[in-house]
Amino acid sequence: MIKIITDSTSDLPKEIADELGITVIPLNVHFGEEVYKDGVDIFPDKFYPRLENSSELPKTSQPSIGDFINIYKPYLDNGDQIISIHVSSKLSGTFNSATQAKSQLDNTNSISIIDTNSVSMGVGLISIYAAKLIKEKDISLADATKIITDVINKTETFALVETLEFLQKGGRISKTKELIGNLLKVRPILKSENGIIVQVGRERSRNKGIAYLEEAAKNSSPLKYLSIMYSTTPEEAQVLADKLRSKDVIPIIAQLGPVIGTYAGPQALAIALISD
Amino acid sequence: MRKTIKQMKNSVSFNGQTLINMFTYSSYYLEKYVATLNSLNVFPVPDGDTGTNMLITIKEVMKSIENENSCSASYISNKMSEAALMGAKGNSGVILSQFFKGFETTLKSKTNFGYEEFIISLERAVQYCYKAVGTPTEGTILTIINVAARSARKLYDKGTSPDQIMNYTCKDVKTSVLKTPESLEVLQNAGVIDSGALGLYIILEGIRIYLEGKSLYSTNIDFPENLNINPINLSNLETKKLSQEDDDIFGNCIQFFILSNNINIDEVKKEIEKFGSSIVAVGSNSKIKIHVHSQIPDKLIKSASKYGEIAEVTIENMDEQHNKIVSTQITPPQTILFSIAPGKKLNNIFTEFGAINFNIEEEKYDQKGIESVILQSNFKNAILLLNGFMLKDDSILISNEFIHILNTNNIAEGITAILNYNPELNIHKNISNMKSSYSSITSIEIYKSTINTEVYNNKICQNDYYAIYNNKLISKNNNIIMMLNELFENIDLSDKDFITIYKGNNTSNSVKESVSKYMTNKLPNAELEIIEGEYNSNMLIISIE
Repeated sequence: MIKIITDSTSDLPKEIADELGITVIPLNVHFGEEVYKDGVDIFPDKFYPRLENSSELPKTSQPSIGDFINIYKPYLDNGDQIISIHVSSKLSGTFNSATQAKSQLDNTNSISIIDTNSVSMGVGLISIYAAKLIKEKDISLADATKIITDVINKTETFALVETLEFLQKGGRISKTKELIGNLLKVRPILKSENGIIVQVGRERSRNKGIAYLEEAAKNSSPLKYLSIMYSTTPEEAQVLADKLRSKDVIPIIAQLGPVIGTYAGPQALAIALISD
Repeated sequence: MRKTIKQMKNSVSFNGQTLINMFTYSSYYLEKYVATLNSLNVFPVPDGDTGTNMLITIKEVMKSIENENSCSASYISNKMSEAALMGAKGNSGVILSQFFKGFETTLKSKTNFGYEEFIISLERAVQYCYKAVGTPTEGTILTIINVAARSARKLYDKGTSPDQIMNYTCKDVKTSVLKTPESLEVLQNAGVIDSGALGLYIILEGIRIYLEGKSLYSTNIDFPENLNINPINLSNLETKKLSQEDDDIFGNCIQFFILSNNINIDEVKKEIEKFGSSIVAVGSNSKIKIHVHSQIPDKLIKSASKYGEIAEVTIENMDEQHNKIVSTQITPPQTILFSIAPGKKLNNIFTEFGAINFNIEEEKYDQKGIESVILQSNFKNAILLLNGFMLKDDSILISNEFIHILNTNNIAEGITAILNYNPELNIHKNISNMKSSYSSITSIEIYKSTINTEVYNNKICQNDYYAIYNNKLISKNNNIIMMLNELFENIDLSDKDFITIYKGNNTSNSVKESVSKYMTNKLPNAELEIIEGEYNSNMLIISIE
């Protein structure tokens, strides 16, 4: 059997992961020297208020090589194969940890590790796609890996954030290139492009920012999968999902977890999609 | 019988407890310098946590052997390596875990060990660490582990007295740490040495101090004095002969960046004013670009270096503009944005969005001054936002095909234009995007007249309020509400959801409050932002988009 594994930056809703049998390996969130596991002992409900009130921003770190070995080994011992689908290696060391873990295990031919070049539900949607693919047909690890890798080029992620502060302080976006002042209210629109986060627009009003996301989804249509993500404003995510619902695609609403939330900040709204 | 040197060396006997003690020292010093390490972190991701990650990793290692009395080097190194593997945080932590793996595999099934095994452990660590990274990069922690292993091996094989091996090794390592910026450009640009490299040096220093039998608390490591390196060599400037006599009053046109954590732009300007004229200082509190004319560039730059690291210096003799006397890492930008806006606040807004702004109120720029700064700049294309400034028809800027002048009527239009500039797009696409963006907003100028006068052929009495929209007087009244009512009779506000009010110094607060209250009632679902423009005028702008 092929087993799908992803990491907690995928922001995959738990019900979906459970239903599709996807294992989610947590990254770590650090407040000073306190370390929490994303989605295991720290959740959005406690995380966002703390993010807003904490003077020191949290840090994040990838799962250790040992964490990966602990997840991989029982499946391998059981004779299973693994497709491990992860956040862009340009944004996180998670892919590297996974690769190192693989190299320290015996049956390395049974593990395929995929760098999605994406983030959040971009990773989540690819994982969903992968889980459905292996469920639908009997397919070899190599063939499945190829099909999943091909879908990376059709995956896009856009986000509207209230401030670049969290991304800049966290070092996930270049400081010089992305010009957003502090003197005037301006909201950046970001996109994951070739594995890094770039700014593709800036809007003053929140409504226009949301309209940008809506337009981006429409520009990539027809869609195979669509997800609407939010950090603290579920109502807005619902409204946008209703607008983008069609007979072919029902948007998956997901909340940005603590690791992604560390960079997106409160009131972020985002979309991820795989075009058909 | 006399012992050979080799036997002598191996008569030094280490065991499991030695390992614990060595890394207790390392961990202590690492904790001491954790904040410094974090502050240097620019590679691979400048997220300021290299120190913390290394510390958390080594603390996990120490926790795993906290109450272990075993003397077995094999047992202790195995526990340490496993703990490091499980507890590794971040890239530097992952690499550090492989450092411990070097000890684990070398000391397997050994209770005691000597320098030979210690050095083999370092050599193995090099191999594991390089393998642990997708694309090994020199100038990082990896380089340092490598230098440490090679240096120790060379000293040992040469027959160096054992108690001196770590001493000399650490000296070599320190030299390499200070050289990390030479191999890694991002360090050079940021003007720092590599954080992970320094972290590993601290760990090795801990080992050295323990092996020298010195006390933990009363001894300090040999900490490098100068962590910031200077990205340009100032002595270059002094050796170049500048023919000052031949220069006109401007002398040289000098441009450079100052990089620091916290720069007060006004303070820097004041300092530079002592050495030159026509100063344009733009940027944030961490990076300022200076453009200045001076006859004494070397003194000027030396003085500016008090405020931070100096980078990307260009000095041009203005009579021979193409003769670059000093130039490091210049990539002439494809497009430069210029704007004209009065007052400090608006000046800062435009500079935050990447423009070089002419603060016509404070800097007293006239058309000639503006022309000369623009023409002396190094660019392929320039965009100039006029924001209401009247350029005379015979301006040399108009006839220059590489200078694109956008006739924005006021600062509100200018700000909208600059927000729609995208460096990824070509100049023509940008010009068209910017033009359509500022034409789509509604910006209205509101005044309260202080005298009896005439505006666009309409009689205005003292204390009348009047509104100008699209270069026409739209309404006037001595009651502000009635004036606003009349104004909005014929302006379509459907789909508008963001209002910005810019207020000058000479507009009263009561006018500002009447307008903002009126606008909130008019468009209850729109967001409203009020900018205290700090410019000397009684003009208030309502910008609706």
